[in-house]
Amino acid sequence: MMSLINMESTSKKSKASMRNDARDRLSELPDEILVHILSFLPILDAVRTVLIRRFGNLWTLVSSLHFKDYEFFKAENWPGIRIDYDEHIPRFTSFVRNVLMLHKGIPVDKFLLRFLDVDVCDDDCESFITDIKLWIRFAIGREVKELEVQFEIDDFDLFLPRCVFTSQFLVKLKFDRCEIEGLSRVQMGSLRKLSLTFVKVSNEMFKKVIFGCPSLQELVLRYAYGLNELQFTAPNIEKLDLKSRYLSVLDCPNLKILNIHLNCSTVSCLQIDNISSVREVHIGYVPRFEKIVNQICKAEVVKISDGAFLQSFFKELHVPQTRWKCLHIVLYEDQFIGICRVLRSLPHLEELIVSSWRKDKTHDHHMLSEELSSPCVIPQLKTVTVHCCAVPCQSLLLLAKFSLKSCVNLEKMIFTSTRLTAAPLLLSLVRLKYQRWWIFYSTADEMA
Amino acid sequence: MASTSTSTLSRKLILKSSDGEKFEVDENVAMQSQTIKHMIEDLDDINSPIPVSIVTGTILSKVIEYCKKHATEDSDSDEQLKQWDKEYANNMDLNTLYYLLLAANYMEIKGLLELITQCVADMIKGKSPEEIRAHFNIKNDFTPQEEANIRNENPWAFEN
Repeated sequence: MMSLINMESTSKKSKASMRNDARDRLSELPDEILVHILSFLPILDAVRTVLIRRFGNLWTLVSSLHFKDYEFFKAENWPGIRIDYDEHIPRFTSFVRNVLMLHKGIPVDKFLLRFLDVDVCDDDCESFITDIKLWIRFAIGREVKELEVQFEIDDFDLFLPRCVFTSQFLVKLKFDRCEIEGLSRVQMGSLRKLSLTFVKVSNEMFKKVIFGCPSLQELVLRYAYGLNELQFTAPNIEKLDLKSRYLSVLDCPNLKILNIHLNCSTVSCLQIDNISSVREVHIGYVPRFEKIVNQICKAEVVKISDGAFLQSFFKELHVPQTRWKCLHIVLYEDQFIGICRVLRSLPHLEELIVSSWRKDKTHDHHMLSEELSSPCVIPQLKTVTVHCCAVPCQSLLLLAKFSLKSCVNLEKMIFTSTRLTAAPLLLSLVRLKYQRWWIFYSTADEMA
Repeated sequence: MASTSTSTLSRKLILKSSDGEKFEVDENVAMQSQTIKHMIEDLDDINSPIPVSIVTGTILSKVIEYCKKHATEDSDSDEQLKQWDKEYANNMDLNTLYYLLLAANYMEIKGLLELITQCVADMIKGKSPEEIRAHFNIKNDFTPQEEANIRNENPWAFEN
């Protein structure tokens, strides 16, 4: 009843409002909303609205300041002006300086500096670093909640200003290429996410940082030089994303989610003391897979990328009984023998996802056939998903056959392929080869 | 008295627009508006219509459409929801966008406010002042001479 009445009056009104379309609605909006709109624009576009009378200096109140060199130097932003790449730095820094000089908004929600294209020659380097430190101090002074500074410049050491580490407002902090040193006090009470890439920091200094961030929940560490012992017991830190070349000790007993990628040749001495609370793991490359696998038996979701299989010789690997429920494996076709070993130790597995990539060289399937010939039962496994390249390899078909035989309660088997044409081919191939199995399982499902 | 039973999910509320139209909505749909959420807390009789005093029926029905979509935790993936948002915003004329912005701001619906704000920002992005004026029907703005003066005063933003 009510809705009928509404519909009628709605249609009348919308016709009426269509007629006065030519009104300047934008200028009628309150300042607050206009500032909000400006905050969603690239900073150069926001600044240039100064040429619209209604906007005027409203841009100086925007709540986010993103300075990205590649966005700034887009050709369409400077029609009729030839962009001289030697003058990149001075032009961009002059722009940032002017914006910050005029900006009045407080607090700043997000401050981002991204230099990905510029080249800093030695002469400019010192003044450039001075500028950047000044801007970081500016952001901290404006009670910034999210701070991100990123460079693509090698041999570039920026000592982070100390004021960053005593900010009570920072919630997210991300730095790329800098050095953390000589801090006497770290106190970042609101910080929840810390992300450091190519950062130089000692074990002691890093401990101090962790200790000074009681609210920290997520930690991203990619190639932190000087940090080879990662030990913390902070109960709030749930997620660790770690890439390292030099790690020798990993001891984080309260973690829930771990992404780990250790591409070092010298980790024979890697000592993993305790990561047993981890529930979700993604292992990229780990040279000694067996060292970590014993520690993650209690995890429920496990993803293993190809690197993890490269050096471990699975035929001799003893995989303990695990509680893994979902396993996602990314691998080359000559690494299948590895999963078959692992599959035998997964009595609780419910979902298996295999992404396979083809290798050019042909290889021997005998070992795999032999490995697969001895039966195994995976009672809980319900879903198997296979992502493969254009033409599925022989090993994959062997694996499909194996999983159909081993999974007594299988409900779904999904194939996807990088090329659409391959999907029906693959499906028909499997159907033809294992027609009996498919029919058998589909009838079993219906009965259930 | 307002019932404080656990069956809050199925409770219905009546929203009343500025021009007197009434809309019956699920409580979890209406609660996406922080303003309404706070109004309900102070409400003695849950069955009496809640006035949304500056929003017309036409706009309120569009706001409710958005809230309904975002209240149901059905099978839609984030990707599908984003696509829906995009189509929703693209179907609005400038007038409607203007009223929706005011409504989302007044009703404190964060997602809707951000969606429409982004949509308007995208209309400004990469445009020259002339193009912006034409797009939004902005009249009686700066003269070319005044504009040239501003450009000259701020060379760092326009050329250098």
